[in-house]
Amino acid sequence: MNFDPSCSSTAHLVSRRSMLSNMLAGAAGVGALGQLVHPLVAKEIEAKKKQVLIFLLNGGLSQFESFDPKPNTDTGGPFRSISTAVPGIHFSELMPYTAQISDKLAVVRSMFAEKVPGSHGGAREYVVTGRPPQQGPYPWIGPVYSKLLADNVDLPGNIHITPSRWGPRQDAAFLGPRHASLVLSGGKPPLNVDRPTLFDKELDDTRYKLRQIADLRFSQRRRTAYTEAYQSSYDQAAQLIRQKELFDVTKESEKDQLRYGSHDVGRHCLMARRLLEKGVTCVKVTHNNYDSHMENFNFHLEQLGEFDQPFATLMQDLDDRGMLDSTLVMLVTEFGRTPTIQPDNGRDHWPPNWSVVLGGCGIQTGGVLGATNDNGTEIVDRPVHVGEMFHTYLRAVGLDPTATHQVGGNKVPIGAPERSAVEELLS
Amino acid sequence: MVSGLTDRCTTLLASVFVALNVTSFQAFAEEPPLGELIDHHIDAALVERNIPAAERSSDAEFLRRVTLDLTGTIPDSATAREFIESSDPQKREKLIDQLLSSDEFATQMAVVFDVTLMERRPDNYVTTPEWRNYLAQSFAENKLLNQLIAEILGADGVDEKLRPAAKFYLDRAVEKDVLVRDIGRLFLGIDLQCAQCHDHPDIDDYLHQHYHGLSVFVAGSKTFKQPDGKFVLQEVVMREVEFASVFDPETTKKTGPRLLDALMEIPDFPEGEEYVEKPSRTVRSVPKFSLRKLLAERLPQDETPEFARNMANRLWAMMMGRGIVHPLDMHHSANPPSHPELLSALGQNLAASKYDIKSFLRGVCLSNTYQRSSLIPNKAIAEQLPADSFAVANMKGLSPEQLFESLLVSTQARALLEKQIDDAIAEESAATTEANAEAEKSDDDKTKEERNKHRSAKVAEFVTVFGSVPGQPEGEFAASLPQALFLANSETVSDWVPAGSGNLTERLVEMDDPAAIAEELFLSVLSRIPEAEETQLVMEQLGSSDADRPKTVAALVWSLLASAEFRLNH
Amino acid sequence: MDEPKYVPKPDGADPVATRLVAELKHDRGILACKYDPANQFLFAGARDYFVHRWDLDKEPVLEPPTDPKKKPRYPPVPAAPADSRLEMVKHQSWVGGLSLFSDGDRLATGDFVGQLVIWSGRASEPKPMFSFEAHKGSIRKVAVSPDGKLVATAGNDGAVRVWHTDAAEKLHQEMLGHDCHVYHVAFHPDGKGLISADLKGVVKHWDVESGKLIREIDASQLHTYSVKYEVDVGGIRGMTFNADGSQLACAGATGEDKGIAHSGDGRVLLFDWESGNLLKELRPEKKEVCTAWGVQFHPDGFIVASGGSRTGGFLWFWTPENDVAFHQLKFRQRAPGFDVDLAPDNKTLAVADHDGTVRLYEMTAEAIVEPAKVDAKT
Repeated sequence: MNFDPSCSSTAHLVSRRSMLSNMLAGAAGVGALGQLVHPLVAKEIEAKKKQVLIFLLNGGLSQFESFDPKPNTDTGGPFRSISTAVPGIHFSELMPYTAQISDKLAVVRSMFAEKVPGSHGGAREYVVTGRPPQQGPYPWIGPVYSKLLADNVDLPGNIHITPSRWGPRQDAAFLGPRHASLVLSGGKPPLNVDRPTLFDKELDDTRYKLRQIADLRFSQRRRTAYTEAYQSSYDQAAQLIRQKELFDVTKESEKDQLRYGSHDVGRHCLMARRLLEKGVTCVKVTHNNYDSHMENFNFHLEQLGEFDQPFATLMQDLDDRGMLDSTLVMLVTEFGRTPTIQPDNGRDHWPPNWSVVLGGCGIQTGGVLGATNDNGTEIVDRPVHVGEMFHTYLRAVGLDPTATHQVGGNKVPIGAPERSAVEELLS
Repeated sequence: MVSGLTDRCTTLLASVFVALNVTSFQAFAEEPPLGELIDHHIDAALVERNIPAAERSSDAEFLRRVTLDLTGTIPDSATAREFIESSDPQKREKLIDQLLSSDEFATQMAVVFDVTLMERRPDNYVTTPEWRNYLAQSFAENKLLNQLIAEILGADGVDEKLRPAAKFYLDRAVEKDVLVRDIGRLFLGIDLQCAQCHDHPDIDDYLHQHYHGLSVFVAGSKTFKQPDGKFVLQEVVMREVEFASVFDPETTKKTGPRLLDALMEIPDFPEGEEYVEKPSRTVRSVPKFSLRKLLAERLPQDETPEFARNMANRLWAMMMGRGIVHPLDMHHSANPPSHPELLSALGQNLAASKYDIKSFLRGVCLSNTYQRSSLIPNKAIAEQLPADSFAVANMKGLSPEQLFESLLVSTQARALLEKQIDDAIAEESAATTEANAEAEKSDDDKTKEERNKHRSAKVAEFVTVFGSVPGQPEGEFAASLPQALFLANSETVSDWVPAGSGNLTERLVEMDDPAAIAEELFLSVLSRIPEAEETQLVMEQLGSSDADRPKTVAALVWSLLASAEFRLNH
Repeated sequence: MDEPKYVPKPDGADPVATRLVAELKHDRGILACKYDPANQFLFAGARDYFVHRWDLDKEPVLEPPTDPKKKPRYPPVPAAPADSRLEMVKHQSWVGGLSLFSDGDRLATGDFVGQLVIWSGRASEPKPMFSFEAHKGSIRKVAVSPDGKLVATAGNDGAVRVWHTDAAEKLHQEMLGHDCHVYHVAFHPDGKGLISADLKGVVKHWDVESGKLIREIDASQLHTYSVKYEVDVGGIRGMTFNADGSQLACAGATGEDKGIAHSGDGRVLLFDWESGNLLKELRPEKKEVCTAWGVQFHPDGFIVASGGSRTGGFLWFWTPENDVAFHQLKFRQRAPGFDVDLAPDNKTLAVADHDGTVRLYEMTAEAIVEPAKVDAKT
């Protein structure tokens, strides 16, 4: 069968077979995984201990003001570049703390995507699904991790800490709402996590018990797929309500709260550490306001001024706790910003080249992959497509991006089949 | 039951024989009723596959299912009691007719068609209330389905009366590729997306020229902003499109307008005389011959059998929880229908009825297949009864709208909701001193509009939590953590549960007899009489102390509202 | 309200007649420009690491339209090509702060990485007299005291610092109190007061001698907190006193919360210095999405500001009596003028433009300098 490289919608893949996913389905059904387990399956199971931390810098981080500085050029902007923990690698002076932990990072300076929709939503979707949004919707990377790494875990597999006014998004596509991001808007606990006053603790237990009795009776002679999923959603809810303090960042030490800073992104990074420590599989932190069509330099100064320190602190803390070995960290943004400085001191959207940063589990850190020319207008070495990065994100935690999702009897490749992982980034 | 089937098969075959010999429309009048036709095909397949069939649904099960399917809500407790207790042998048929002629049927179909055709896209040019109103009116007057679809496909948004019909085009921003894909999926049951760049890699039937042939109809259309600021459609002359496969970019081909294999003739005007209004920046361009109008005339017709087949399959899925072709937009040879003959028969029946939705749905409702229980037959196991066999009723999740309405009906919180809306409006008007700004509208209109706005906002909460992704069809039932949290703890739901404003809990608390409480509780929430054990459980819960009765009753009410039996249409 | 009107003084400037007379070319966006008091040089800071100096005597004047009925050509043709631009080398980033000493010999410049440089500017090869790091992070603006003994700097570290100008890094006073980036600083003409202004529209009045805060003036109309984006937008971009120090003008943009890609509407706030009261909110002829960047008082009694956005650039002219501009000149290029300065002849304006050009405009109907005269010199 031939694939059109640019066209990989679900429809293409109806008849595609995958040994791996069939075996996985079988294994999960049986539950016991003795010595008969296929080595590939064993690898997948090992991957289940892995965690993922995603930073989404929303709006389009300027590569010039962060990881690919071009000081004293026509495009470079006013800020200097500074040396980092890795000799020869320079960041913008707006990231002094991150510079100190550059040995824990792999910087990709040659990200690109073609035919990116002008909208932020579309471009973002491209980055987090590895597929052109016109072909979608495909599940975002968070729900994919939730499905593949945390399908049988009681805790929500995929928690998204966002600035306030960011409602829930249905980002799981065909993986279903069970894997959609649980949104902590403004870093606050999820919606509806507090019992109505009517039901005190005792009565609350009673109502859940009565509910379960009703479900048991109903499902006795009926197909159980729906009723089981329904019961499990209430089990998750009850569990979450019991563990509400999971979302209470003030339970962290005062010293840590000071180290991370009192602004939102500081609190959100500390919350991310808390959630990862408690075993949540995938945590995403969104930081806003990088869409600097106007006053690019002021906004990057402000935004990175907030982000730089807590980000570096969190990386250091994860490392100190020995968690980086099993936690993949990625810092992504929907596109870069124009080399040209616009009339309002801004930079516009720029998908031909931008920077992405990885670290932690499965990643070869302490280096830079790819390069742009002297004033950052084009890639001159090792272009990396967003679809390749999607494969890389999965491979880094031991998952096989060439395997398939089961979608109502059809099989859909997890990563775009015409792409493959960036081997240079994998350890 | 099996012997009955054999008898009916004989008569059925005889009448099919007659139908084959007489080609006129009259022949269909002699066809067996649609319900029997359905049962014939489904039962034959069950026999052939050796699949046991579920029993006939109980009256309570049937009442709840058909009320949800046709009117979007559960029956209230009085209706449930009356229906269950009625000994009229014709009661099911009468109920179906009554529901089909109700206002709620039109409203429910408007929601279904809105969600099917717009897939919860955000409003841009035509609002959802305008559009649903238009759809509801169409269903209320039983507008024929092909006429409705022709109005939608031919709409330009200029004629005030038909403006809402232009939502299909306008709120897709008249984007050609989106339209081609969705016209294919939604009206023909065929997803041509991957034939956009080349012949479909997997599916032999989807040809590159099908995609581009369909695109010719809409390629010349785009939006036009009228001087009054309103967006409408305009069209430039288009005769054919040129295309090349990505695998062979050198070889270009051309096609004129084409509905799958049927190439359409279009009139030829001398150059310079093609337009009523020539394209310009200031005037809406109108060609003498509109390809969009041609599409509207030719797609929803007998000559395009894919249309009737698709519509029949979609209506079937709405009632049966699964298409005969499934997924609904994947009609092609690699994804065969579970019951091919039945599907053609349904399509033909719909066409023969001149696309009369009510008569079609009536037939489906009357079939034994529809009226089967969702209980697996004794001694059988679920795996023996695959979903595509229709041996047992397929369960469906309540749509966000159905869930909202059903919660309101069961908790009897309508008065409470109205009061909440009153309070919200009072609060708002206290905040805005210039209450008379919109003096042109009468107070009544304004209040009604405002009330609807508040009500829609409540429904929208349900859509956000329980609905599908915008631009995607509503999928199978799926449960999630935010949904459970919403039903357990959200104000919207929990406000309706505690005793107050004459709601269910209050009424139950005021009753003395625990057995009567149990019965009313089950009738109100689950539309059925409780089993003895269930009554027992309610009595035990109530037994302990009178002081806590309001709370205990509230817990009981909630436990049933949050049960799978309530959440599913079974 | 009466149609805003301005009657030129005899032999005074005529703003309504304002026309482009010269283009001083460079290839990077110009951020600040200042005339030398002798009217010989024009100094500018740009989006590069230099201070630029043009010799105005050597720069050609643009050919005025020969037939007044004919539409003027654009761009007008220079009488003779020349580029007298000279690069003064010392800075390590863009130069946004630029102020001249009244003696006309020296100038103080500040860059985006905090370096302050004092130059001897009139020399044939201008050299830095000294330089040092005055702020952590950008210097936004610098101001020289009327007697030339002090220079004030304002920066992103939230500090305002006043330095002696006779030696490097000799701090006179440090004024702390702004809780965000300080965008502007200016001496009162009496030399005793200093004002600094920030992103949030807070104007602080300091005593130069003691460094004590005297009072605050509220220009917070020029700031918007975007609730949706949780971010501060705006700030005071231009700030200046009139000659006798009785009025203060602050330039920027005002408007409702439209997020981070919308500047608001260009405004100049006119304050009474003594009371601190807002006298007028000066606005363009019609609502423009833009920012007012530079503002000057003209001795004839009108106020001029430059500004704009990617949708258009402008010079606006107001009288203090009317809050609507009596005249505005729209640039050919769609970009703001980031700074405006008034020439010592009081008839010419220099505007620092985003497109890498300093443009000179004459506020007269008749040319002051005939193109032929320039020809003769070159």
